[in-house]
Amino acid sequence: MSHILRFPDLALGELEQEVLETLWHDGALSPGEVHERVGAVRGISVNTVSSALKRLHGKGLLDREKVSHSYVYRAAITRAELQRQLIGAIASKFADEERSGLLAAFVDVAEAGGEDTLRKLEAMIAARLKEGDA
Amino acid sequence: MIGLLEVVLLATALLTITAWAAAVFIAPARLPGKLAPGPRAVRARLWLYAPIWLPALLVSASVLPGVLGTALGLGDHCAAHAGHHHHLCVLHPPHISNHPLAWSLTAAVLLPMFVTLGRAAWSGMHQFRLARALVRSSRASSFGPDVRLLDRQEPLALTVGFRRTVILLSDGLLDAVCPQTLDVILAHERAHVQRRDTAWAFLDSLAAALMPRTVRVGLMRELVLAREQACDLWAAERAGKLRVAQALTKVARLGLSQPAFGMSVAASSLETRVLHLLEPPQATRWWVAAPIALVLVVTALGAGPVHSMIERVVTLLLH
Repeated sequence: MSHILRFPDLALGELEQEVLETLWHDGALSPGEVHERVGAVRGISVNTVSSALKRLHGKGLLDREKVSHSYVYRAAITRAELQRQLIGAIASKFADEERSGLLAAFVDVAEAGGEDTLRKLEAMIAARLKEGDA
Repeated sequence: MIGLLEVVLLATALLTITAWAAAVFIAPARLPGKLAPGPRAVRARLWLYAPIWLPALLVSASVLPGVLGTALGLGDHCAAHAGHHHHLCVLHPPHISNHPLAWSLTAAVLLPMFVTLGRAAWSGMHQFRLARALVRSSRASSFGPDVRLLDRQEPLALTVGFRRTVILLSDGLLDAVCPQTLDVILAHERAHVQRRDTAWAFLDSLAAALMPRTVRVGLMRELVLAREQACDLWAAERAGKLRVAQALTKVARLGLSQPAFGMSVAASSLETRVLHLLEPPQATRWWVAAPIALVLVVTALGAGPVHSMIERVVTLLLH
C-alpha cells in the first residue's frame, strides 16, 4: 500500500468532483457561491460544501486566500493535470514489469521494442499488404 | 464436526504450501511458447491460482469416498481402513484432537495467505476509487456512452473500471490517428469491456499477490499478453488482421512518451502481438481437453491416494 502514501488521496467523491468542476468552470468562488451552484441543487448545507472545499484544499487540489472574513477558493490544478496524476496513481502500484488490470492500454509503448523492431514489423505488414493479404 | 474441520483445515494448509511451492519452482520453466490466447491464459491461470484451486479440489475430492460409498451403496468406506484416527469423512467425522500442532500449523500457512489477499483486495479497492475519479473527471464523447475523453495531449487509449467499465481516449490520440485506426482501437478496447478483462485482471492480481515477484511477473505478463492478443483478434474479426497490426505499429510509432504508468518488460509484446496476427499459431479446439483432464486427474488423486495420504499424515502429526 506504499503507493497510497506516495500520492495524495485523489479518489474524489461525487461532491468533491462537482465542486472542482464548478471551480474549473467559474474560477475563484467563496463557499457560499459554490453552495449556490452545487449545494442548493443537491439540498445540502453550506457547511457540507465548506467541508468538501477544505478536503480538496487539504489534498492540494485547491488554493485559497482570505478575503474579508471568508476564504475564496480556486482550482490549483487543471483537469488534464488531475487526470495525469490519477493515471499515475492507478499505475504506480504496478511498477516495472507488473501492470494494473484496471488500466489496460491499447499499446504499451514501453513494451513496443526499439526502432528496429518497429521497422521490421512495419516492413512485414507492408509486404503482406502488397501481396493483397487480408 | 469440529474434528473434521480441524483435519480439513490442516490438510488444506499442507496442500496449499505444497501447491504454492510446486507453482513457484515449476511454473517459470513452463511458460514460454507460441500459443493462442485461450490456452495461454488458461495455462498461466492454472499456475497462478494453483495455491487456491489445487488444495480446494484435492480436499473436496478427498471427502468423496465416504459420501459416495454410502450414497451409491458401495459400503462404508471408513470401515475399509479403520486403522486411522482421523477419517476424512462427513459421515464419520473424527473427534477434535486439540493438538497444538493442528491449529498452529494451519494458522501459520493460512493466516499470512488471507492477510496477503486482504491487503491486495484493499489496494485494489483504492484503485477502483481512483479509476472512478478518473472517469468522473473525463468528458462525454460522441462515440457512445461507453467512451469518454481525457484532456491529455499524449495519445492514450485505456479501459478502466470494474463493474462499469469505461473506455477513455485522450484528445492527443484523436488528433493523431486516422478514423480507420481509431475504429480498430475502439474495437480492441470494446473487446476488453465485453470480456470483462478488468474484473478478471483484478482477480488475477489477488492471486498474484501470493506469489514471489519473480514468478508473479512472468505469469502476469503471460496473462496480459493473452488478454491483448484476444482483443486484437476480436478487433481483427471486424477490421481485418492487417489493419489491426497496422494500428498497433502506428500507435506505437506515435511514441506515447513513457506514460505515467511504467510497464516495461524485456521482450517486445508489440512484436509478439503483431506476429500473432500475421502468423497465428495452429489453432485447435482440443486444447480445452487438457485442463478438463487435469481437473479430473486431480479429483481422482484427491479421492484416492491423496485421501489416504492426508489421513496418514494427519494421524502421524497429531498423535
